[in-house]
Amino acid sequence: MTAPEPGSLLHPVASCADLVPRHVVKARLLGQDLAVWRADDGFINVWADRCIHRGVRLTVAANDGAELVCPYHGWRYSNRSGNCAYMPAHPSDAPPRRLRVPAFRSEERYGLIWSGGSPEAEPPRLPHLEADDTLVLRALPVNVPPDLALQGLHECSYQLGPAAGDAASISCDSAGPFAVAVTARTGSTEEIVVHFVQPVDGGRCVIRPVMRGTPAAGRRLSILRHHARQLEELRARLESSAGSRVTVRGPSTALEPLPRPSTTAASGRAPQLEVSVARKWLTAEGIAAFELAPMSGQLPSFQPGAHVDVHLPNGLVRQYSLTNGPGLTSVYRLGVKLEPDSRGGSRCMHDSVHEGDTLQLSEPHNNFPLRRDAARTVLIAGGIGVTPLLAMAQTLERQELAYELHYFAQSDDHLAFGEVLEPLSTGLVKHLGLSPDQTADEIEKITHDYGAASHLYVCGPGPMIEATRAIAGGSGWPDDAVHFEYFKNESELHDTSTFEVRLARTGRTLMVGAGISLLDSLRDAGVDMPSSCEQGVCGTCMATVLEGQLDHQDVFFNDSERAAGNQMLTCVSRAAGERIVLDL
Amino acid sequence: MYLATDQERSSTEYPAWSQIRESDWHILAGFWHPVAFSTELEDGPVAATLLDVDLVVYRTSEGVAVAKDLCIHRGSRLSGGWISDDGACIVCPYHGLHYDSSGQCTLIPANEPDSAPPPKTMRLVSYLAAERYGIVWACMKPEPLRPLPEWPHLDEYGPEWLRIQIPKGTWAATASRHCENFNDIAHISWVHMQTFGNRARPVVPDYTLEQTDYGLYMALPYIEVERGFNDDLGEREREVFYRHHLTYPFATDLRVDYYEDDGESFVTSHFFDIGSPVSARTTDIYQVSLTNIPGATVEDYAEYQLVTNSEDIVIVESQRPEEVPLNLAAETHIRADRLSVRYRRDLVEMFGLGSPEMVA
Amino acid sequence: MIKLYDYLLSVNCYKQRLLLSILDVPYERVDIDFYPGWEHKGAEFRKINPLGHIPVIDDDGYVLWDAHAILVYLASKYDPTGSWYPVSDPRRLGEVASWMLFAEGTTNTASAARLHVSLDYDFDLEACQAGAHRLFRVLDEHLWFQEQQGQEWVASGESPTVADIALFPDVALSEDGGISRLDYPALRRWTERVQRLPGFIDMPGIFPVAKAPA
Ligand SMILES: N[C@@H](CCC(=O)N[C@@H](CS)C(=O)NCC(=O)O)C(=O)O
Ligand code: FES
Ligand code: FES
Ligand SMILES: [Fe+2]
Repeated sequence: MTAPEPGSLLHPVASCADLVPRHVVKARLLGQDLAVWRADDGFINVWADRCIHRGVRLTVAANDGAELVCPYHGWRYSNRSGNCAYMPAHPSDAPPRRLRVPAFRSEERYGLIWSGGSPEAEPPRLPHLEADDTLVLRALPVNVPPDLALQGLHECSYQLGPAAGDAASISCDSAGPFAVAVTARTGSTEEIVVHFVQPVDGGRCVIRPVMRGTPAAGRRLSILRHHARQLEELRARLESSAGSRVTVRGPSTALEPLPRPSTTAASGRAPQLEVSVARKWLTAEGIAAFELAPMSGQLPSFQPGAHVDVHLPNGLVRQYSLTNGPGLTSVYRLGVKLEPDSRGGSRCMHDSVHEGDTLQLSEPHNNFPLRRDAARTVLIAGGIGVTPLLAMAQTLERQELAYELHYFAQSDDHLAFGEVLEPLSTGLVKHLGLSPDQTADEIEKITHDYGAASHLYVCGPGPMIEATRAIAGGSGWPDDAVHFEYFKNESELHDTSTFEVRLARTGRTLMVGAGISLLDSLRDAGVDMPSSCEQGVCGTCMATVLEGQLDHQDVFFNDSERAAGNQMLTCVSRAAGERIVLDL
Repeated sequence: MYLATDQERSSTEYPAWSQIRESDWHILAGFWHPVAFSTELEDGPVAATLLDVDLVVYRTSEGVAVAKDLCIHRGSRLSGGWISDDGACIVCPYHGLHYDSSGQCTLIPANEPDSAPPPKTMRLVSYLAAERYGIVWACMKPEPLRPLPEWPHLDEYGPEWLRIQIPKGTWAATASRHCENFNDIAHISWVHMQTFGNRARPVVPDYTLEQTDYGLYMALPYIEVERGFNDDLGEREREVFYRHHLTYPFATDLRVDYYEDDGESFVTSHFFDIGSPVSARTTDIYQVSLTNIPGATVEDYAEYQLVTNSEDIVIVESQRPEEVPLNLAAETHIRADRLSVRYRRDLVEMFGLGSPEMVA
Repeated sequence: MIKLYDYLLSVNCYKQRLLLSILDVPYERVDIDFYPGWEHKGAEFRKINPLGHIPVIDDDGYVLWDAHAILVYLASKYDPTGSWYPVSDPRRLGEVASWMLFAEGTTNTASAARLHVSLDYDFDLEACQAGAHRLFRVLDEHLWFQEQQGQEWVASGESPTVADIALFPDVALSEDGGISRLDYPALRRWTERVQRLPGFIDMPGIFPVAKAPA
């Protein structure tokens, strides 16, 4: 029998007890450095130990319970997805969706965390151990290759016997390619310790012993000490006998990170996610709340202010904001108001979508990004417009950044998501039952003293947004400090102005609509375009231009390259005229 | 135990043990790099390593000189030797052979005093050497690719200026990682929280960036936090203006301007920073500052700069991969990174660094 | 007021600043011109400490040198709870003394490696690193067993002691001296617990940690 490739298996990388709250464990598996951390919701992330920006190790990042914060430039990465959620240098931009720390498998068994690059492999299931009744003994890093450690464990099994005494008969067997089980019998009692060997790299490993069963409380410490001492002796022997013979070999297979959670193209408007309605309830007068859980795998991460396109059973596509705070990553939570003059979107959500139903969604998009660097943040919500602002308020609350959430509604009964509002009490101000004029007066009061670095976010009915923008403008708020998202579920997704792109190699022609990047249009048309920054900085998405005038919007090219007009960055730049021809 | 009879004296200039790729090594060897502060030569020759080559740096009456740290007679390290009493030669500590500043052997003490002078072929492997800004520079190719950085105000400055030489540091990082960090704006609000960084101002504006004949010029304002390091006034914000002149490949003049707290006196400081590539992942840092802040002292300035460096070093040493990826798609870039994107492109497009391996 | 003869980049001076900050004791810094003056080696300073070392404190005319001795004095005098230097509990006091001696070892290995790398001190780097690893292995095992018994600090008991302060920067800055903490997960958890103590102050090179969950 040939031994399986180590890269095709899962291996232990830490013990569950190592993952204390707000901590990042440093680990290494098959030459791959790992950052392992548990979020406050319990999810365990096993990530490449490397910030995708400038390569700083994420094991020195701060774990705030929902995001890892890189110490070099403060980029934040979300629990579960590993997506970059925020870049402080450009606080008004939503980071491109594909910016993501490579992630690896993460499974718990026998009190250990198991990881690897294989999407299919499972942690071993051994007859020697029961899954939820084990004692994890002290792990020991050893500076010898894994195969020498395994051989040493076999040879030294006698010494790894029980803490109780030496009358025992000791046997030892292989428990899979990377584990040795040592069984000690005295009369009718049996003690089993499985020593898992974590292949660190070509020259090192960690021996992780796990004992079957839970010892009596009084014996626990002496058992732990006994085994730690025996293993320490084994280590000394292994290291001295390996001595200079150890040549550090690289791992035979590099550890491959997992693919992105959604496999379809990550842009465009085709549905990409299948979710089921895990919970539906009436959260306020006329407002239905939904929790949507993934049918498989993880939900893509989102930023505060983001929305998803929901593909309804009746064929309509509607956009709904996510109300999720940063800790809630297992479901998307939406609120939908029943619009009396609905053309069928909210009616369908209210009447025809039930718990257990399946829905198709897009990945979250963010046109309403939240800055986290403001001196003052004012959130103004009108009715159901509270949904994106709830996500924002929870984010600010978690980072202990000051904010005010002004929630305008008809009455107490019309306040949605009371359970989310409750813990926000410090920043929350309710304005109930006001007429449009009274509302304007209130907004006047809220916005009358503009100070530098203040930002205002408003979402609600169109006239309220208009009024707020006018009032704030009158009080000296600059345009770029007033952020708004029109809350209009019934609108068409995109307007229709377009330019034409001809792809010279395939002879195809496509239209690029306003509001959609050329890059996204090319991808929708099945052209496999690479990208990285999606901000016109890195040049990854470059295309050669054969014909047509260009509207360059990047910062990558210098003046002469720009003037040459034979290359463009498809993520930000567009045609200046009606048509361009690309060498694609 | 022995080298084979057909082994030549030194078969190539590229040191076989170097982890720098050979094609990059030949390009980097064509630039001037610092090998010592002038002050280090006061007590005789010193050793240095540049691009994995061990060097001896010495001063004779002719000026500074740089050669392989290897006596051609029996391979002793010349850096263990001394300067002859007449100041003209470096003397090997093993058998006392004398070499002048061009590397020519001028005296073999074991020979009869009246024997013929040593042959012209008896010479050290010498390199181009220059002394400027209180720094000794070496170039390991006969034709430098670029001149020395042009920093005239560091050649000559009036009495209102104070010059501060920072102790040489050694970073376990590549010279380009160090250089990018020195010219990186976005990190200041994160990394320099005990010196001048301002966590409340993390936003990087669209700054000026120009390609110049020496490299890059970048200019932008920043609001530092002055933490009362050298005074008792406590923490306060201070608006400063940064001008970075980056001379390729690793030398930067950072000019910092601001108004003193009185709002009247305008002061300027220059932070000159040069990374010298010792080996693939080791860099010696040469820093000199110049300031006209009234009352500034060498001690305070040096301490402040060392604290600043120690904030940077832990971060830069932790970057992976250690080498700067010259394939732009290998890391993620944002608008704040325009300088480093341009820098990486120019290293490739102007000098040919990072060219793909030839496949036989 | 206490005068602390101090240098910002010295770990042993930092230990004093850290304890003074935690105990909330006001003091005055006397910045020693380490570079370029080597003031601590000069005749003037040797009148204060003939060994030519910092830190030194001068508490109203009472002069004391040696970092770990100063910690003992400051805790005994200025900690009203008596928990940082537990004189009333002989067993804990013994443990504290033992780990303070251990900390001499980490200072002479881990912190010496850092001085060699960052301030060009002449130490045998490889010997320092190997020595630090030997000590870190012992300390990691000790802290792991402490955790198994519900204990968070180096010495037993509910609260930290001067032994934690004496060891902290030697461990937390070890990567500066090229000493990886990959193999010491319990040490990494313990440094974060120290960083979360009320009154904790940073030294350059120590990465910030997130707050403990509410
Ligand atoms: N606060 C000083 C210090 C400035 C300073 O040290 N600047 C350099 C030191 S490293 C710098 O900003 N370099 C970019 C960096 O690495 O932070 C000033 O501006 O007057
Ligand atoms: S390297 Fe992590 S944010 Fe820049
Ligand atoms: S993806 Fe970076 S420039 Fe387009
Ligand atoms: Fe810096």
